[in-house]
Amino acid sequence: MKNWWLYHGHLPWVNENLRKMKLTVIFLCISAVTSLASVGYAQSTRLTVVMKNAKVINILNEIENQSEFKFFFSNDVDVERTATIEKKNADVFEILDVLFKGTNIKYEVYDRQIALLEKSDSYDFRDFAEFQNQPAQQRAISGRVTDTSGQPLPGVTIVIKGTTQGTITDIDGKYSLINVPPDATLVFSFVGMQTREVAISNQNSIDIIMEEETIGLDEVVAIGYGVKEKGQLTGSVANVGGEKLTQIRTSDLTKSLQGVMPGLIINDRGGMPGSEDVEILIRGTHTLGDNSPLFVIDGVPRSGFGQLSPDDIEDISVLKDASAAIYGARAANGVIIVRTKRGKSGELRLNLNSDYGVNTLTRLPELMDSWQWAVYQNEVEEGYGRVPRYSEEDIQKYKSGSHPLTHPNTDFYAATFREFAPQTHHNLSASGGAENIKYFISGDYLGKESQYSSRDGKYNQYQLRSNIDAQVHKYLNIGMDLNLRLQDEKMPSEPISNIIHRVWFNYPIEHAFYPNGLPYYTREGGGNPVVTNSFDIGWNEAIDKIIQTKLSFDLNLDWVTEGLGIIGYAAYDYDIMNNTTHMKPVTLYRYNQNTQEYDPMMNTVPSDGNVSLSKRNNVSRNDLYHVRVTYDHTFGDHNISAFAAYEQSESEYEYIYAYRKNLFSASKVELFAGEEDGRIVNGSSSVGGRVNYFGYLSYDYMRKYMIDFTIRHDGSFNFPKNKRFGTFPAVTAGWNISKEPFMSGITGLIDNLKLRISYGEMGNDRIPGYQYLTKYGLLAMSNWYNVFITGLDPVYNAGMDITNVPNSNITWEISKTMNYGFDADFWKGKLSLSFDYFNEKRRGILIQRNESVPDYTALELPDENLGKVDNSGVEIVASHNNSFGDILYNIGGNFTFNRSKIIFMDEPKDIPDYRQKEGHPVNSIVAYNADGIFNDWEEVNSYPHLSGAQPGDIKYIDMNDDGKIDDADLVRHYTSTTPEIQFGLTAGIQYKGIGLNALFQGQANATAPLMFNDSGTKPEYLFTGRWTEENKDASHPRPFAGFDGYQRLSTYHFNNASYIRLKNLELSYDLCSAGLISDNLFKQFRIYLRGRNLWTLDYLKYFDPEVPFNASETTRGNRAKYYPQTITYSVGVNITM
Amino acid sequence: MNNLNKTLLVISALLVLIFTGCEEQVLDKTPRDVFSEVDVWSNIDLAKKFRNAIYPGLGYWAVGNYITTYAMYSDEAKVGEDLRVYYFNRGEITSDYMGRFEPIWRLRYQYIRKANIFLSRIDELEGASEEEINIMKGEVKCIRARLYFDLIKLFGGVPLITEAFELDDDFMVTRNSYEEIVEWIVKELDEAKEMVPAEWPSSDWGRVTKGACLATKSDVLLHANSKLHDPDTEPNGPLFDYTKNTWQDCADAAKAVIDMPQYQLQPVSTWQDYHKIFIEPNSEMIFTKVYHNNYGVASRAITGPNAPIKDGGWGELCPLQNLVDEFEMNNGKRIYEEGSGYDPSPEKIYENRDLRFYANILYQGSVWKTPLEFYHPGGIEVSTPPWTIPGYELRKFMDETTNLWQETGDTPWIWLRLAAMYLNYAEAQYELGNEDEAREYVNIIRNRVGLPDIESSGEELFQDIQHERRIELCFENHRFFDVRRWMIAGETDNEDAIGIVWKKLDANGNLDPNGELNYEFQIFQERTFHDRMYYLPIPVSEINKSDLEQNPDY
Repeated sequence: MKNWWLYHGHLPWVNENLRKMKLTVIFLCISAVTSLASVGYAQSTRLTVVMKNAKVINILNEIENQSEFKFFFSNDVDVERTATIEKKNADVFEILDVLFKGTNIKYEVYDRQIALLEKSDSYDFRDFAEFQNQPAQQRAISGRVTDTSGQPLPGVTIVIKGTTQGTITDIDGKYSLINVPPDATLVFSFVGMQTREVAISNQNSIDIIMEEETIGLDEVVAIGYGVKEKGQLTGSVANVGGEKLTQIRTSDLTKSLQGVMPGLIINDRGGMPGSEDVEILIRGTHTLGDNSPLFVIDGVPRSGFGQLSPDDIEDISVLKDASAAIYGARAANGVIIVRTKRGKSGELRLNLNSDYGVNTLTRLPELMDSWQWAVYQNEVEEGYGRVPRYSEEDIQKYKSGSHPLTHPNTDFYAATFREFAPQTHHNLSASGGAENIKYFISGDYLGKESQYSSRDGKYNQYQLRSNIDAQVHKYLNIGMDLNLRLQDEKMPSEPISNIIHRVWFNYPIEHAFYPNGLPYYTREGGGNPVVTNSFDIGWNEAIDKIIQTKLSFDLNLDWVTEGLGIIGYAAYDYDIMNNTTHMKPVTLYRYNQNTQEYDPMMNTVPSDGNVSLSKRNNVSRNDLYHVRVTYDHTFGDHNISAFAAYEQSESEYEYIYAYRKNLFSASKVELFAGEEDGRIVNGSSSVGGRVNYFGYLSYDYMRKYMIDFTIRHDGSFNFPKNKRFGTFPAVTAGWNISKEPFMSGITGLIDNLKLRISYGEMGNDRIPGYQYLTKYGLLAMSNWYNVFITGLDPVYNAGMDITNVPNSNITWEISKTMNYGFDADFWKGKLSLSFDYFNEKRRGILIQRNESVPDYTALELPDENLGKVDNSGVEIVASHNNSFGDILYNIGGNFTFNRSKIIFMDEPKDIPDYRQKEGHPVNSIVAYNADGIFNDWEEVNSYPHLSGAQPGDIKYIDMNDDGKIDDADLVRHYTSTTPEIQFGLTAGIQYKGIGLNALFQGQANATAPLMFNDSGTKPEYLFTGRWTEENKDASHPRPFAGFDGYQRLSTYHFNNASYIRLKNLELSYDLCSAGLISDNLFKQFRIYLRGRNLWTLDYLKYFDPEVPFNASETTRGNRAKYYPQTITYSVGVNITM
Repeated sequence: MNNLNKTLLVISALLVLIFTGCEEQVLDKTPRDVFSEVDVWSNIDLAKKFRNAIYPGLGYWAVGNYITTYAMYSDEAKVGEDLRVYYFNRGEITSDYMGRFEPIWRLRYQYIRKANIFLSRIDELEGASEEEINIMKGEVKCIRARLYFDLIKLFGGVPLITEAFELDDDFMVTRNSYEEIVEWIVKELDEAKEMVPAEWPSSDWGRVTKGACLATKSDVLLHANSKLHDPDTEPNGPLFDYTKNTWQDCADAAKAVIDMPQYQLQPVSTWQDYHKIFIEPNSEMIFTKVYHNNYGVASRAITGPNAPIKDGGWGELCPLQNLVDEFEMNNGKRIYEEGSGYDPSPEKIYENRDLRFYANILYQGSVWKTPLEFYHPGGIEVSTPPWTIPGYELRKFMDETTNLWQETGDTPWIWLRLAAMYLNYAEAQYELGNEDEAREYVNIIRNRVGLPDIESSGEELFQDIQHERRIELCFENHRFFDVRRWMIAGETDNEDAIGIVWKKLDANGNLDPNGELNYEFQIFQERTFHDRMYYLPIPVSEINKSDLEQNPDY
């Protein structure tokens, strides 16, 4: 017991709590003192202390270090005072005399103990001796334990620290303990609550408020229509809290989930500000159709997940297995549930989170320089037996840059994008509550500029959220949620794919701008990307106004029977989108060598030469009514939770489109201010509806054996009357082995071990509507192929077309999913481990028989419930938290693997083995097998080859040995840009307010094909690595021009898309934790530096490894025609008051 | 408790309200953005719209659904840059690499299906007069016949599908014989011509007429009776052979059109007069696809993609020297003939030619708004990518008044033209042995543009007829098929594509913007024709899905 204050190196002193105690009491504790002794040690011990302007406490420390002396003192002693000591080889008395000279402090020495006291105090060490052999004063302590809301907590364990002596609180939360040593510390612990330690001091009564634990098994997470303690989960549910998401703030929430949770396959495919392209799959690919998950935001299926502010989010749960089955016909691809923050009782809490950042492209492709391109092009001509286009002189001029007007060198990629584009995000929220009302109100702004060199293009997003809960009556709580969002995306009217197309389509020997600054007119209409990336050619502005409201009630019917209640809500969502496109031609120039003048030419790309304006207004409305009767009760060791629910939803969509051209004035961009001739007006609408009945029963015995049943009966407007309803049952079960008596022996090693198993049937109804009807649609005039004009004075004749062949048997896909898993926690939660294995059978997949129905039938094929796909995989999560003194750290990792297997799908008859889909994963790429490059004519002639192949061309393998290379030799490669494996690694460390958090994310088993077979320029590596007579054994083929018939998608074009990248790195400093700012005013004052995509290890050199692949472009070449991924650097502050 | 009860009452009432009868109301939805079968086949206005949508199946001036024309796949022209065309020109077309030809198979059958549906349902229509229904039927029958004509021209015998497939049908069919389809087409056209009017109100100009049916029939029989379909020539067999001799029917059909009062050859005294035949509606046009600036996008009207580069065109269709040299001198002699007066000096190379040369082709120094510059260095038509313009651009069909910066052009595309009927008639008469009649009709076409009569006979006469077709019908998507049916593609399409390269040279022969104009001929493409190319391959994707027989050597 003495140790705690005799501990070497620590000066023990009487703290605030002990101040009132007589020093004698403390001395009683020194059991080591066994006899009175003289001051002999003090006199014989020689010390050397030379310290100038040092704190008294440091001087005392120094004395302790040099000797066996231990000091005791009360708070009356000012140890922070500075003093100067210069004593060599002196005894302790000499030093202390100097040290306390002129103060009211005296010292008394008892053997190796020295007491410092006020001079007015007297102290007799002999008193001490009398006490020492007596037992310590023991006492009885009692009190009451409540939770934060004041409710008594029964069953709380209280033990005296270091002993096995303890008790449990009764039904009223009360406890009492006798024979408590006066220096004892009481440890209060309760499942789901933070353990508290309280020194009893001289108190006889200790009341404790216990707070809920924020991490761990007892954390409550969102599940379908409710919440559940993590420890009680029986399904496979991944969860992330809002706090984590605010550390990974990105401009699209979907991106923030990348690498954070197991079971998700997420790829950032770039995308414009405001329309980011993020692919998200739960457990990979399950179906040949739509694999996208269902998003449920605050209990309502809603879109706009990516636009939610991370600062508004309480938590996100991903339901991966049968736990999603409560969502019935829409659940099969998994469900992502979002809970937004709500107010909690207590003081007003203000939170500000602001960051400022810049974006820069992750990769900039290296394109051929103009001289390289000229050399390359000459070799192309040579290959076609034509004369070279560029003389040696030209090439020299391109190389030297001596004639910038006639021989420029332009990197259109670099010229089209700028290096840095700003981005900013602010969120301000207020939350809190009184007894009867709680609120969470937030405002959010996100602004992101485009990466275009024109600096044109911006996305602004404003968001307001108000979640109010009012206890209007003892038994009735009413909630009113409101979310307003304005998304304003204004971009150049030319789509990014066309701009990038032009980046590649133009040649480096062309200009972006002439040396005098005039923009250059490129071929085929002048679509110069450095001009079309600006508002000069017009713009497109999409203003999306989203209003989401929800009115809810929670009626407690305990007075009818305990545990009974009714919950209901009505949600009305409106989405009003105004899309305005203004196009205008712009004048570009062509230098005429003869006249030496710059001839003005009109850009007809993208506009048709008219100053035009089109507006499209979309309004969609979704409403949803939900009511459920709930029952939660505990009968002894049996816990039951159940509900029965009804839900219905209806949706309505409508649009109006208007167009006029030849606007009268540039200053009036309005519909009325354009010509009537050629105007267009259009519009349409659609409706949908769903009706759902569902129920849930959860039972557990002593929290040890858990079983949950769900069933859902869903009706959808999308299917014929007799096929409209489907029933989707599920059962999930868990066994908490660690609660078994036989496991008690290893408590401390394994604190929690739970086995889980689940089975569920779910549906996927994501298909175009009304396929059971024969539909006739009016043809759009914008589709040029359909336009039918007649008359000497021409008039447009509307056309009508049959759009489908009906399938009267159509219904949803069915998924049957098994999941096996376990969760384990070791060493008091220092290590957590979770494992899941799943096996899904998707049946009745909606596919079109495109592969077996000949084109001459020209059937507009409907979806048919024919496909069969199996999908299985594993997910592993491990995390470790620990602390060393003030250093807290955590590391964690998650791993997701899944592989699908097609059991049946529509395939052409007599398909060769090497192109078969059945028996293989869903995602695949059809390409030739390449076997290097032909090195000479002999090789060409001795191998099967494409007609006209030459040395330097890619050697394709003749798979069917028919002596020729054609379509029949195409091989299906069971890989794609969608990876089979994704993983995330997190590491964080905190020390006194300084925090460093890193998130690494990566993938494997993915392929990114890249092919450059369109006219225009090419990457530099195709020049430097090209095959020539002089450079045989080259890595790249001989020079080829656009639409080269010898460039066919092959394994040569494949790139391994595996990577690991530092997705997120945050360095933060909390001025409060560091003690620099008073925590009376600020609860948190965090400043942070953050980076995204900072570092990447991968196989692709010039393109981002997350580059998308568009299979429809395999003949023209996939040249990554998308808005590229970015690195984001940001700095921000997060203040909580 | 009292308050609570009230609250409960309200809530319960609400719940009952929600539940009651909602299910039906929520789920019984009908699509709002489409019409139902019943709507369409009970309302003549909707049925007419269904018919309207069948017309676009005829396609437009280009091959398949993009901007290359058949001229580029023949000895008339080359494409600006599209290597997929070059691939064909080099004889490398395969069933899995068909370039711009790839979508034709699918597109034609798509519209055949629409036509089949229309014809099977239109009789259900109540409240419409039989005449009204008959006219529509006739239109659709003629279009369907033309769609099959397109298919057999390219592929030989194809599956003849005249009823729409349903989802549960057995889809496997075999190719019908060429002759069978020709006979069916003729029968359909004979029926159609009795149903449709000889003339429409002016607002319906562009629809199927009697003349269109007859002219199509003449074309179909012209093809069927040609050498390519002679059982004695390769490839042979039912998919390719036509065993009948129906030259008389071919001639009769052409003559019937020639004799119709609606159609007259336009008088021509200058090349501008001739050029106008292809720009504005006139009585020489039998069947056209109408364009208008207000509809469609620039790239789909013929002017935009093919007009000179300096005015915003793309210069896609580039006429070849091979064709240019075929234009006679205005005295009726070929340039290489003695006494032709042809002067190959740079200043005079284009002087005194058949006026159709000036009406059809843009060349160095010709004026399109301003004089065109095809010379190096710096001439705008050749110093701009694609750089591979062989010294000529297209004037035929191009409306110079189109403001390409703002308009798409409204030149109608002519499917059927009276002058072609004269030449069909002449050829048929030649084949029937009536050489006088044949010469007469060729000479009508020649005299109109100021050329003297031909007086040849026998094989020479046939060559003159071929020549006249080549010149009069150039770029009108005839040559590609003519060289095939005459089976001369082995010569004509094996010729390399020649262009003219103009240079301004100083005294030392170096390029100099102030130098003298000079020219040389240059091979722009080496070309190869294989016999298998008399027909296209059926796309391999279709072969894989069906039991269809592939064409020989693919």
